[in-house]
Amino acid sequence: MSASAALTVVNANGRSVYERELGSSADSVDTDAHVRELIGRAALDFADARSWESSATYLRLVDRFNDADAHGYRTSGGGRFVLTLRGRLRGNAGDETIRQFFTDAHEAYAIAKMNPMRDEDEDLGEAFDRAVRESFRRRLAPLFPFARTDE
Amino acid sequence: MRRGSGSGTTTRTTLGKGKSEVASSAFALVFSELVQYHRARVRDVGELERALDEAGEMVGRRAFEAQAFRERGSGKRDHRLLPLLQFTQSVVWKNVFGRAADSLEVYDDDEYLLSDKDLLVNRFVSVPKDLGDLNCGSFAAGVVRGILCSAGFPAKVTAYSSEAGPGDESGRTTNILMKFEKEVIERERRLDGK
Repeated sequence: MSASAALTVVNANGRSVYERELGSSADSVDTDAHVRELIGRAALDFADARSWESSATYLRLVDRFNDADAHGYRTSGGGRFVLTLRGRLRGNAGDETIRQFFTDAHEAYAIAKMNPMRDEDEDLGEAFDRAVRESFRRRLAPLFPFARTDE
Repeated sequence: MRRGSGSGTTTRTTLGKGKSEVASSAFALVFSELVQYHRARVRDVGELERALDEAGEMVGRRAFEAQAFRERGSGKRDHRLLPLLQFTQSVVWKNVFGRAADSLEVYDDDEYLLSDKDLLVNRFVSVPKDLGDLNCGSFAAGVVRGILCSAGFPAKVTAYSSEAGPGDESGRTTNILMKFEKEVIERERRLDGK
């Protein structure tokens, strides 16, 4: 019954600028950060390979790791998002839902990037985190059994 | 468990249209300060151009992400070279420098040239003798390099001036020369061959 989701954002330089667990079901074991990083990074290579096949930003399912699905997205400026969904979700996390989530994240990412006070390799900041969590709550949280969506 | 709706406002800032115009004199003032700031801190013309180039790169990387989102929406990006260059020449140039660049030419397989007859950053600049062949267009070269490199098309980008042709009243034409890395050319060829 356990399920969880995490988002990793890697910038054009290859630095990880955001890496958080977004939601989990009440009885899921807290995923270790290094496992999330492993899955995110492995999926990144597949996402990069997929990037040159079309002009789409949404790369769809790029990798599977045991029971975790990794979905990829690439922005014009080289930012890459990897959303991992693991475990048993209620119903199917359709492509359309995930694409909409990525769209929200993309806009928040462009806004965070415009901040002149923020160095390109720094963490994306609180506003991005809030925007992403809100989008997750609206679009993906309904799929989680007895979800805990944020702290 | 959902939080109560009174848990503070969710300030959802959107990217917005971003088409507000700025007076060119205001821009010229800021740019002039930028040049003077660096001039006081560098040892030679080369370093000054590099400083301007780096400043431009930071602008290019940031502005491109936002502009691409505004113009292309969230579904598409440029994964081929020519559309990206055309986007730079028209949309980005208009947004950053006030009007589209004049021309885009291909020289070799790996060299492209963007030309602007009246580049904004050079418009109000007259270079004193002691700064030799300084070209403030290196700021624009930095902008372009920021765009190309972040989009996945690494290249060396330089700016140089050329005299206007006969019958052309504008003064100096600024040319932005882009020389692409081998991996870019190979990838383009591979995608063409498909």
